[in-house]
Amino acid sequence: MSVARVAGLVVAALTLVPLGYVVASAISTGPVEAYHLLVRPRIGELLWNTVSLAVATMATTAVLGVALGFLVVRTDVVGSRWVHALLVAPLAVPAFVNSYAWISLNSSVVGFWGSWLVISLSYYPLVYLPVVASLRGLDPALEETAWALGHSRTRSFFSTVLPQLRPALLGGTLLVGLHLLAEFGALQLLRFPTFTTAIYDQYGSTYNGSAAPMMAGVLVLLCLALLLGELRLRGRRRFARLGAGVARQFEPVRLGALRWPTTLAVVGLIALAVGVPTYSLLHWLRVGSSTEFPLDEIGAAAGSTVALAAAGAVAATLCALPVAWLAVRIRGPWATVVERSTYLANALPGIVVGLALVTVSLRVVPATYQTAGLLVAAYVILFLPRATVSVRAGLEQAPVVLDDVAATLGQSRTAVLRRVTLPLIAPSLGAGAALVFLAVATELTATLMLSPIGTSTLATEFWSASSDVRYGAAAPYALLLVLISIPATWLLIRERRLEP
Amino acid sequence: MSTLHLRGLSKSFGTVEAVKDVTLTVPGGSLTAVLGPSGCGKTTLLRLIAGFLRPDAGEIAFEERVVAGQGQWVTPQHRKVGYLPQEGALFPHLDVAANVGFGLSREERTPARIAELLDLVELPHAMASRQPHELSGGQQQRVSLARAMAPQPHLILLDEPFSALDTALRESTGRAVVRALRAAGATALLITHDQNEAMSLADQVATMRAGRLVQAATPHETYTHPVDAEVAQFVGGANILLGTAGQGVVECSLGTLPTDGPATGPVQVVIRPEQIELLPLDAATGPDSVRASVLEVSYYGHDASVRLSYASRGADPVTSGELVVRVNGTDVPRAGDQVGVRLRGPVLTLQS
Repeated sequence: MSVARVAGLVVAALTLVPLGYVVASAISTGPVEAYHLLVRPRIGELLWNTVSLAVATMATTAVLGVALGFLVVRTDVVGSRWVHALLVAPLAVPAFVNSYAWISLNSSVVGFWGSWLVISLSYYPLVYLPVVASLRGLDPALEETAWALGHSRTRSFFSTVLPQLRPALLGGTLLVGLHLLAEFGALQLLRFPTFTTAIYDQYGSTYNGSAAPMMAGVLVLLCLALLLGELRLRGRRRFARLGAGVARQFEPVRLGALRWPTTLAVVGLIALAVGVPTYSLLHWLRVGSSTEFPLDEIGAAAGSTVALAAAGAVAATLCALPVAWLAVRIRGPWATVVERSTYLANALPGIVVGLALVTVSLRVVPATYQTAGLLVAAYVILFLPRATVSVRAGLEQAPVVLDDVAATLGQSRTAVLRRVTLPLIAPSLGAGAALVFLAVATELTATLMLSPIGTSTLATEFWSASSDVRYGAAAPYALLLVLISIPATWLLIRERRLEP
Repeated sequence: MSTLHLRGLSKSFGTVEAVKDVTLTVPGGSLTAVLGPSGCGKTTLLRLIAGFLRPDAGEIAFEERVVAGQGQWVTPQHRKVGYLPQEGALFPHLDVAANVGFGLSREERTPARIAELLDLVELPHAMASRQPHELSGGQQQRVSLARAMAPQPHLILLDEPFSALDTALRESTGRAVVRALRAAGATALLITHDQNEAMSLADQVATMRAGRLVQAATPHETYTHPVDAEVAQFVGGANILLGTAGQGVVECSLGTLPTDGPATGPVQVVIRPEQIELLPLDAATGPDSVRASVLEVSYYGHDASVRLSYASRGADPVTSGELVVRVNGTDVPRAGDQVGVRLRGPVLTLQS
């Protein structure tokens, strides 16, 4: 038991390194220097850019998510099954690939409005999916009661349905906010400077000791504000959860004369969100294949991507085991501290994690700088919660009473682990590892900062080609990144369905 | 199968004394029900016997072998105790045969042995290849029992195994489980909060309250001679009146009634609902009857429960009272009716 506790603390300590780095550098900078670094027009501009884009995309994705969710689940919109499948498809296209698709076709898609368009089209499924799951799980009785009391459909939607969607809607919207704060690749390509891109530029060009960590500090504060909102919601969501097996069918809302126009509008959105990137990719593949298609370079990048992703997946799953074990089997304040700290780390952008690990490794253990091990550590910090959520769900399927029964049947503790616990959690371990594998394979920011010299991955190769405006050369990498993301998308959709 | 001895067993959680000084013997081959409301410590008692918890004081012995107490400690793995938790808790990744054979060694895990165990719990052999989620709640409980009995434990512990089942299934599953336990000659301890289950299935009822064992007796003895008014009410409806007893009779608000209890002086009078007879009003003239009016009738078909208000007789300062009476379903009064009330047989008195 104490093994789990010690292992959990070690994992928690690792995940807290980036936050510790930000706090420590803020302290060592001192208040005067910090004031000079923070109170200047450049920071004001970045803050305005970051916050205004976050608010705009969060509002847009919230409206899109609820409207599309309602249309698909509750109305007789044409072909709702196909529409649903296509509406979640953008999840399989990393936002930086989507930006490349747009800007390579039309170079005027830049700045605030270009970023707003591309990011909203990339991220709205993060709201749409939980809203759909929540709508499907709602007990019809509440809405039917409102009808019986004489409320119109519109009025009962606002009085009974929307309040119940709130946890899903707000949770999804906050996730959009966190993703946006962490977004580097897409915004860099769309030439819209935010804290994340500014930190990268600062880090890459003039290595100024304290400017980058100070900006990281502001970014972390923004993330923590969103995370606090998310945690408060998570606490309340428990009460909003519905009993299992609520599968009563709704009589769909008849759209009447608006049925076809509404369907066309949805198809239009799908054309923008799925059609444009698909067309663009195919276009550049065709153009690119006539000029350059370096198979061995692509093969090498794919090979190192797979190796790094596999290492990240195994490491993150191993680290998730004690965290999930503490949370499910032991509980108590320690378990809460350990679990919360891993989630805290997940809210930090890849740029902050990368910056922290570069600095800390150079100062504390220089031998690890620019090694694959350090990169894998970054992946663990970034994607641990994905593995933890899966392993935790698995452990909850293996209740303690089964251990008790096995003990009374004469089984030793190791036999119980081998014959009961491991077989029960093996599928969840696999699912968690797969999720991390796929996330690592499409990770860009931390990989750019930490990958060992000479090691190139699909994401970094794509990045160097597309930022040099070699769009044709970037296409095969973009295609592989999308193909890798498809199974992850499918897994995510399945998990959402399990947990409304 | 062994006789289970509990001697002075106690267990506290912080300041809460969950089990206090419990002494109980469960004879080999018999079924004892531990009956009590939730929070009375009965589950803690079971977990102590299984070895999931260590007692603070007292000892647990299977025959002469002490498994806890006297400096001894035997882990659950080595106690050879069968455990049937609520909802069965079958291993979800194993089929019925693998669940049943889980506690058996590889050599013992033969199809013949599995079939024998399925026979014992009255399940068809074809079920051996089913997955747990394909079984009904009652079937899961039977598989769970077969799994617990497979390694031939000294004792089987049943932790409210029927509470999750619906009413009809609860009774039939309970009977099937008891038949299987009897066929195997197993010693068993059934934890339950349902007095019907305890009274109808067990050889001995051990009634617990606030961590203490208040009475251990046969179901009949528990019903006819409860140790106190609370036990009397817990194991079946009871009207409790105050009275004064002496020389084979008791004076109370219903008049002078015969009693067979040894108690004298101030007593509590226990009158079972089925001991009371309703009469036409004009027949209620004798010294053994009183007049009453019907307040409320709950009709169940085969019988009915009637709440009455009666005018008291004798010197009792309470001038009126209420009684609950059980009457045959064929002859049910209506609310507002005036009736006579007479008692059948001697009443039970408890020294107060």
